[in-house]
Amino acid sequence: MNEEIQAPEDPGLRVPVDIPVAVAVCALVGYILISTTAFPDVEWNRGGSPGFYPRILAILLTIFAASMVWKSRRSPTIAVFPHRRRAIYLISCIGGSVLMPLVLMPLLGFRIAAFMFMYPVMLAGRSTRPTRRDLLLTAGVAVLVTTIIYVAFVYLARVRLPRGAITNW
Amino acid sequence: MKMRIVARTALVAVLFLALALPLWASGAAEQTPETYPSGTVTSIIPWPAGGRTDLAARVWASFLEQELGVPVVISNMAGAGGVTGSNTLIRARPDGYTFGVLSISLNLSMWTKTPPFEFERLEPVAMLFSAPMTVSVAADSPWQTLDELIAYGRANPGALRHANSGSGTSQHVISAAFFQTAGVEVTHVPYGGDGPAATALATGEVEVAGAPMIAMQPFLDGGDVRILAITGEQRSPLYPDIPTVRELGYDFALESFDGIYVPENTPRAVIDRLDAAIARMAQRPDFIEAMHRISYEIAYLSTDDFREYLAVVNPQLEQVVNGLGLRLAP
Amino acid sequence: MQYIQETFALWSSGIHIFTSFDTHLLIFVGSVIGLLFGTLPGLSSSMALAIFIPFTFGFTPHQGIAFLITIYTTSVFAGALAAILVNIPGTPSSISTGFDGYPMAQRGEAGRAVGIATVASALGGLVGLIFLMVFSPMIVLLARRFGSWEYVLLAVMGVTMISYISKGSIIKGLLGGTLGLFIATIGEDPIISYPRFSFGTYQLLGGIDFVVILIGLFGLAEVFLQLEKHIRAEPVVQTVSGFGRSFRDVLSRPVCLIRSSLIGTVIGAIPAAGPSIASVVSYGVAKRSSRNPEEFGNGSIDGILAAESSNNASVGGALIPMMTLGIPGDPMTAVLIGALLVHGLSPGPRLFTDNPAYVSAVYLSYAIALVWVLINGLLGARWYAKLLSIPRHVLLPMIMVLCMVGSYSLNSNLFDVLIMVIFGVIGYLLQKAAISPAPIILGVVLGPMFETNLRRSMILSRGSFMPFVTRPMSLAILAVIAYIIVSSVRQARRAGKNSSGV
Repeated sequence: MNEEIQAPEDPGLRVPVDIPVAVAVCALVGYILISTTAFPDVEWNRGGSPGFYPRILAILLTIFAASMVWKSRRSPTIAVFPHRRRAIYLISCIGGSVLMPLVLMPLLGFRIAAFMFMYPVMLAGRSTRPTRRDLLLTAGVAVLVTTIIYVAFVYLARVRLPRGAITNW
Repeated sequence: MKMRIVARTALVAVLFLALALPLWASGAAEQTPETYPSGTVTSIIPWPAGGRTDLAARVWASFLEQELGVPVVISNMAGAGGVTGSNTLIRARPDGYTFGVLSISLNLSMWTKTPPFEFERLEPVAMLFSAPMTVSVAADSPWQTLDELIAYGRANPGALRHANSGSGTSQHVISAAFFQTAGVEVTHVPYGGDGPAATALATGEVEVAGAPMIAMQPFLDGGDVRILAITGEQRSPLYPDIPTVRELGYDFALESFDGIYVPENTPRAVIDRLDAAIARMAQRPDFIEAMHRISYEIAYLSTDDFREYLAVVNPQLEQVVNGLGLRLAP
Repeated sequence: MQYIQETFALWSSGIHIFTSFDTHLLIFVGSVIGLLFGTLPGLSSSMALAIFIPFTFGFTPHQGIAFLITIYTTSVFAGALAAILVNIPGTPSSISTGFDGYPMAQRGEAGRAVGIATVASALGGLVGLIFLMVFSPMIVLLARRFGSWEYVLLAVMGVTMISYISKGSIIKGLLGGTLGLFIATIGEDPIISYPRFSFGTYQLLGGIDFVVILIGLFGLAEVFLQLEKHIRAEPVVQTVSGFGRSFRDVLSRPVCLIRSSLIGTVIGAIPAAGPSIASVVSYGVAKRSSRNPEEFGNGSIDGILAAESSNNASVGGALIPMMTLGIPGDPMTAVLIGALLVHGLSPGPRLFTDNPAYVSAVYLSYAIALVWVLINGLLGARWYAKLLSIPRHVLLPMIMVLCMVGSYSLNSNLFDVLIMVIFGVIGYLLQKAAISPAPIILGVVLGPMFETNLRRSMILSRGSFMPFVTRPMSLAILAVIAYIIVSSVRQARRAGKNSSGV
């Protein structure tokens, strides 16, 4: 039995994923085992070594990853990834999400950053080419959403959202 | 149909902007040392919302607001035993609009953490509270005095299990240093916080607990615990019946304290204004009463006095940390 | 009989507080605040309580308490709304509400799901309240027997729930759960404060906040999945259902309701266990004993019912040790104790004799808050469901920004936002590999509880494992765990015989 995650229209990229996941888990296990060698040894009646429990987890991870691979011989998990335009859209969204905390919010402050992030993502997600009115409408929606979130968090919940280093706004 | 949506959205957007613009503009006033304070002041609490330090901060912030004449907003930046928030404070604009309330744990973080905390990059403003550690036992335990407890501990090395907030915390360091001075070998049991440590004592999981008075208060009121002594230099004005360990003949006095700090390079004029406001607040009887209710002892020290105090206490603390073998930093 | 009479006298002694209009206005305001803090991810119940303590300085202590209790109760319920509508548990306690609530909303039954959650919350809360008022002394006896050993076993019992809360293959559930246990080890180790896997940075020294992981794995990952699939599809048409249906949905399942509320109350009363564990355990138990376990995770009514009734019942449970002993069981009750102290009251046995009216104020405002939960949820259900008819290309970017703000506001730290995004990507990839996020988050919750208590109990017992079998409470939990494991192995075998394949 294949566990398939289906995209509605686009056939997409079909990738068997069990082996890559197992490889990633093995890399993690390797990292755990290597770092724990540097941990100090502590007797049990003083609370035990800080490396003991992570090592047990490393062993469990190995066991589960191995049995996942063993099972996948009969029923491999095939993931369907988007490709072409959808992939570009998704990857840009992920890229934007990474840039937000790293660059946009610290430099421009939350209000401008949130608008600059949402506006293109909202526009690019439309099914039709945006007309000039759509451009304005979407901008309005982006401003509105930014304002609502800002007011809710800053004035009602008294959280200070980041201010920009350049804009001080 | 579509036009209506456009119109409606536009209307709502305009309304919101009209509401929000004055709010946004309010933060943009000109800010110089002479006009300080002229806008919202942020107080960094490096502990999670709802903790004891946070609760206290919310109480005194409402008093400080009155003295400064501007809103004081609490910003919780928890993590890594206070180091996360304190590092944010170091990196904040040195204009006095961001200050932090840090406990002795941060002094200790200079030696007990890797990477070590850069305490020297903070500028002290004033000391506000002191919190002696208690030497507490359960109410149904056989030890009525500190001497009895110490005698038992000396006769049975390791038999006394001592609950504290976790390795390297001020609760642990102060209590451990006391028992070292008293020549008692105790088994330290970390509980990750004052509350759980006090609870463990009340439920009988351990024999001794070293938590500040603040955490012990509910259990003391409920009759579950007995406080044998406190580690401060003087008796607490809140519980004048409880003796200090020095009175009982142990050459030891060390207590936790909370100070207010700003980032390095903050103009002296700004520090002085802030300090003056804190000094006024510290003398208000209603402030003192409110803090005493939650077992906070006020120990105000002005900027210069606090600096001197730190110059004395930091080398002491470093020795204590080294002596206990808790040093992790190079 | 006399005991009941005394109890009744006790909790009616504060009725006069609720005859004034001001009190009710405050309770209403409190319920709106609770709703806001509960729904928005990253804003927790304890944060709401802490922030609004200074506001109560101007009120009488009775009113202050009524106000804060309302915030507490409503915010625990409101976490369900975000979980159902956008798959981000608004508060950690609503993790398992999303397991079924979100699929149901995606099917076009968001209103119904909110209705069920509302009624379940109110009734669960009512059971919690009754236990708080009548059976406190018995529950406290139970809760006081919980020491480090029992917490170890409670965590193990929680881990056995993995097989119930993971969709698809059990191996993958266990893999995910172990990953979660590992994620929780990042940062200073709980016993000797040695930094583990923190790459020498101070940001990771304190570990990763579990709400950050929660928002990433559930909220952002789900947005990524939606972005690739349905961005151009029309929003799901939401059907509207009446009040009557919500009650019928819940009341037709009395066994599940009462069982989940009981589990919630008891686990809530155990200090440091809390509503999130309560809701996961009662979800697992509900699935175990259900006739249609395959519905769980695909929009089962029992699933929402079990999760919501138990996490609201746990509010009542958590108030038990707070009121009777002065012991804070979770961060929320810790703040409440602080609030009482600020008003010059010390919770604990003496409060009952010295100031019974305050005790009564706590009970009655809890009851009134539940009524507001009911009003809010049932009247609002239709409007909350409307949120989902916003076009997806607008809704999804909105949720992404909300995830970022939510993870930021926890500690005012942009590093947390970055971690949240990373977990969003990891969660997306893992879901592609059919590894569901629920076991991971369970691992993150239970990991520290297991390791810390295990190592602490070793110190307490000086290196001996014997207390696990010599302590009666611990032995009892061991027996329950053994029963769960044996019976699920047997169940799995039976299932294996009936249908070949997985």
